[in-house]
Amino acid sequence: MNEIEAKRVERAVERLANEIEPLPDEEVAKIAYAATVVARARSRRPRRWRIAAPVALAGAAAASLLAVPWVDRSDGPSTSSAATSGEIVQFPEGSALDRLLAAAQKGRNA
Amino acid sequence: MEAAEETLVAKPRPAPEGGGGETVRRAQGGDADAFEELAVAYAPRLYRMLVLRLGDERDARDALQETLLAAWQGLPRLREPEHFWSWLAGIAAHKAADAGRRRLPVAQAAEEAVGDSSVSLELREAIRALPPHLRDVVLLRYVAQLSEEETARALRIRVGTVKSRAARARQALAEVIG
Repeated sequence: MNEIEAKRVERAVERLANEIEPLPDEEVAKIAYAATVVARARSRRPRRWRIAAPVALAGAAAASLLAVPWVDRSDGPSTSSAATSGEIVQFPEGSALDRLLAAAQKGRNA
Repeated sequence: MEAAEETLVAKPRPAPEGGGGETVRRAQGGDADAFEELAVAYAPRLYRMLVLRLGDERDARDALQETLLAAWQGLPRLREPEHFWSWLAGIAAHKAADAGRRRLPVAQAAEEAVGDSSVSLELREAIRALPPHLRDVVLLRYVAQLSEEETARALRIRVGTVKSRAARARQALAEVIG
């Protein structure tokens, strides 16, 4: 087969391909989108979790650090004079109210 | 007629190798929009190739979807983004081969419905009658418009094998064209 004959075959095949009714653009877009949607569901989700997990851990760590002072105040007597909660501030010697009452009683007795 | 044929031959393929390199790289990085852009650009020619390969439009649509899905999943492993088109066409050829093995003989009736003029129909029949290994070469070379080297890479065969298969296929088809 010479080159001209070969070209004729090539052109005929190409022409045949171009005769095929093309897929509508919307159909092509739908297929293209579907490929990535399915794949996203299969492979992108783990990646998202890989990113989300350290962020969530960091957030939890920060929240626990912020919570520490509050936990300290509510457990046992505090040496701080600043009352930051609704409870009466506790001193090693007793509550502030007890000390005030005791001091008042002592004054009256004197 | 001759001028029309020249125009047809001169028509560029969907996107030249290397032309979509940046978009391919974005898609490789997980950019789904970039991948969709590539898919929309390449799908029409892939679809035509698959219709000729499988002889059935519905099968071709299914194979196209499988091809794009496999491409999206395999894209991070593509070492040469500039060869995206030949890589994609190779995936399509393999998916079509899988689909061809799965169906039969039920789809034969559907294949008869595809076709326009008698010459086109004869040529379609002739392409369909080619052994699969010759048909893949013809479609990759003349529909996907891959070079001999790209066809060899897509089918994982040697360039010399592409040349010999293309010659045999042309010989068979020439008898139909007359």
